[in-house]
Amino acid sequence: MTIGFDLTIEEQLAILMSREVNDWETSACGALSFIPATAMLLGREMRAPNAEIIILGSRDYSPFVTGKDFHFHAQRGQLDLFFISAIEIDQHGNFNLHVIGDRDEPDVLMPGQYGTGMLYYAVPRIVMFRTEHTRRSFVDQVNYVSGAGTSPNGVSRRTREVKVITPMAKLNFNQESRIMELGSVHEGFSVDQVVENTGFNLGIRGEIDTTPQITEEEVHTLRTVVKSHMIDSETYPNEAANLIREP
Amino acid sequence: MYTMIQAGSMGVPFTSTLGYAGTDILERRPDDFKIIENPFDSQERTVVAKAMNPDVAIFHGLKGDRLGNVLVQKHGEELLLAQASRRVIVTVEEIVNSVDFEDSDGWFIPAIHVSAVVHASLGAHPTGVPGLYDADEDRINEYVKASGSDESFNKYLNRYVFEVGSHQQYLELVGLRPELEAVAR
Amino acid sequence: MREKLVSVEQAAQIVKDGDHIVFNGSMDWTPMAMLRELARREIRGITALGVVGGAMNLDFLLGAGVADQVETCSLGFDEYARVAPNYERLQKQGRMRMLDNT
Repeated sequence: MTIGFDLTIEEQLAILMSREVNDWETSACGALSFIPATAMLLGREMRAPNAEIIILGSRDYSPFVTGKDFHFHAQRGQLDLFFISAIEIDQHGNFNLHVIGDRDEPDVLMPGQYGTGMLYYAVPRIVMFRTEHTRRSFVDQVNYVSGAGTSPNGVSRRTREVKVITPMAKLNFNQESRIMELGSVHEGFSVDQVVENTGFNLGIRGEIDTTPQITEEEVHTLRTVVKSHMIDSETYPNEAANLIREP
Repeated sequence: MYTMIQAGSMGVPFTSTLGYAGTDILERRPDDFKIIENPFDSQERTVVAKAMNPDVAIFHGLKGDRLGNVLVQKHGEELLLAQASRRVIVTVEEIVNSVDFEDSDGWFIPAIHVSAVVHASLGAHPTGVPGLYDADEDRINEYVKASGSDESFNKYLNRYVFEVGSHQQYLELVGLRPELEAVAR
Repeated sequence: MREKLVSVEQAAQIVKDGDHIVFNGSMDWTPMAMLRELARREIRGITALGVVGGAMNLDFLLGAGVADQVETCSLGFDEYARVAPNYERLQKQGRMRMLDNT
C-alpha cells in the first residue's frame, strides 16, 4: 500500500484515520494534534463535505469562545468522534498519558491530558492512533490509567466504538468482551509481525482482513488540496509543509 | 476540572461529573471523587467530585480602578475562578479612574469579586499580554535552562527574585520601562 | 466605598502558608510580578491549581519551593518545553505531589 506512494507515517495514518470521519457528524481533536487534524480535513474532502470539524487551538477550526465551552459541549454529548493518542494502550482499552514508572517518582513524565479522561466517556466514537506499533506502546497493562476502557459497574458512558490505528494495523475494542482485537492488517505487513510487535495477546481466531488499500485519490487529495489548505489557513502549516509530501 | 470549579462558584458542596471512573486519577484521590447512585435513576451510578473553593485566585489583567473593578482577558475563565475563590488578587497593567463595564478590550469583573488590585505594568514579564507585549522568548528559554538543577534554579531566583526588591527594580534589571507612570501606592 | 488598590507587598499578605491558589491556565497573562513577590516572602506549602492546564504559573511556584503540590490536567510549557521544566525535574525526584485531573 505504501509502495509507489512513498508515504510518510503521518500521511499514512492521516489517510487511514480520514476514513472514520462521517458526513453530518462533529469530529474533533485536541491541541498538538497534527495527524488527526489532517485526517479530518482529508475526510471532509473525500466523503464528508458537511462534517463539522473541530481542531482545538487552530485559527479557523476552533469555534468555541472558551475552553469550558468545548468541555461542556463534549460532556453534553455533542461530539460524535474524537481522536486520542497516548504513550501506552493496553488490551483492556486503557490508555496512559501521564507517566512510565511510579506516578510520584516516574522514569518518564508527560505533560498530562486535556480532558481526554472525560472525552473517553462522553464521545460515542473514539479513534486512537500511534505513530509506532511496538511492544512498548501496546502493553499488557498501562503504567497509569489516564483513560479507562471499561466503566466500573453501572457508571454510564456514551462511548460505543473504539478503534486503534497504527502504521501496521487496525485494532478494534470488542464492546462485549471488553478486549482489544486485531481488526485488519495493512498491506505489506503480516499478522505475525503485528503479533510480534504487540505486547498483549491479540487472540487471533481465523482469517484477518487486509485493510483496504490506500488509493491514488486519497494520496493526491492529501498532497494537493489538504496540504495547501492547511498552509493557507495556518492549521499546522509547518507540519503540513514538512510532513506531507509533494504530489 | 471545570465542573469542580463551577460547583465551587455555585456554592454547592459537590457536582456530578463525567469520566474519571476506572482511572488512576480517581483511584489516587478517594477524598475528592466518589461513585454514588444517581438519586434520580437507581439504575445508574455517577462520579461526584468535590467542589473547588480555592483560598486565593491570582490573575493579571489589563485595567483596574481604586474600587477594585478590573478588566481581564476577554476569553478566559477568570470570573468563574474569582467567584469560586475566597480572596482574589488582580495585578493590572494600568489604573484608570473607572473601569467601564462596556469596555470591549477585555472582560469586566466587578469589584465585589476582587479583594485587591495592584498596579504592575509589564506584570506578566517574561510571559506576554496579547495586544500589549509579546512573550520574552529569550528570557523564557533562560528559565527553562535554569530549571535543570537546584543549583542553577537557585541562581536564577537569586538574580530575578531575591536580589531584587520590587517589581520596579525587576523591570530595571531586565532593561524595560513601562509606558505608564510610577506605581501607585 | 472601599478602596482596594494596594501595593504588591500588601496584596501578598493575603496569601498564607498552605493556601490553595488558583490560576488561569495559559502561558500568556502569568501574574509574574505577584509570583515573584510570593517567592521573595518565602511562602510555603502552597497547592497551586491550574484551571485548566498550567504552565509558567505552576512551574515557577514549584521551582521556587512555594508550592509542593499542584493540581491540573496538563502541565506543559507551550513551545518552550514538552513538560514544564521544574515540574519534570521535581516530580522525577519525588519531591512534589501532582493531583491529576481531567
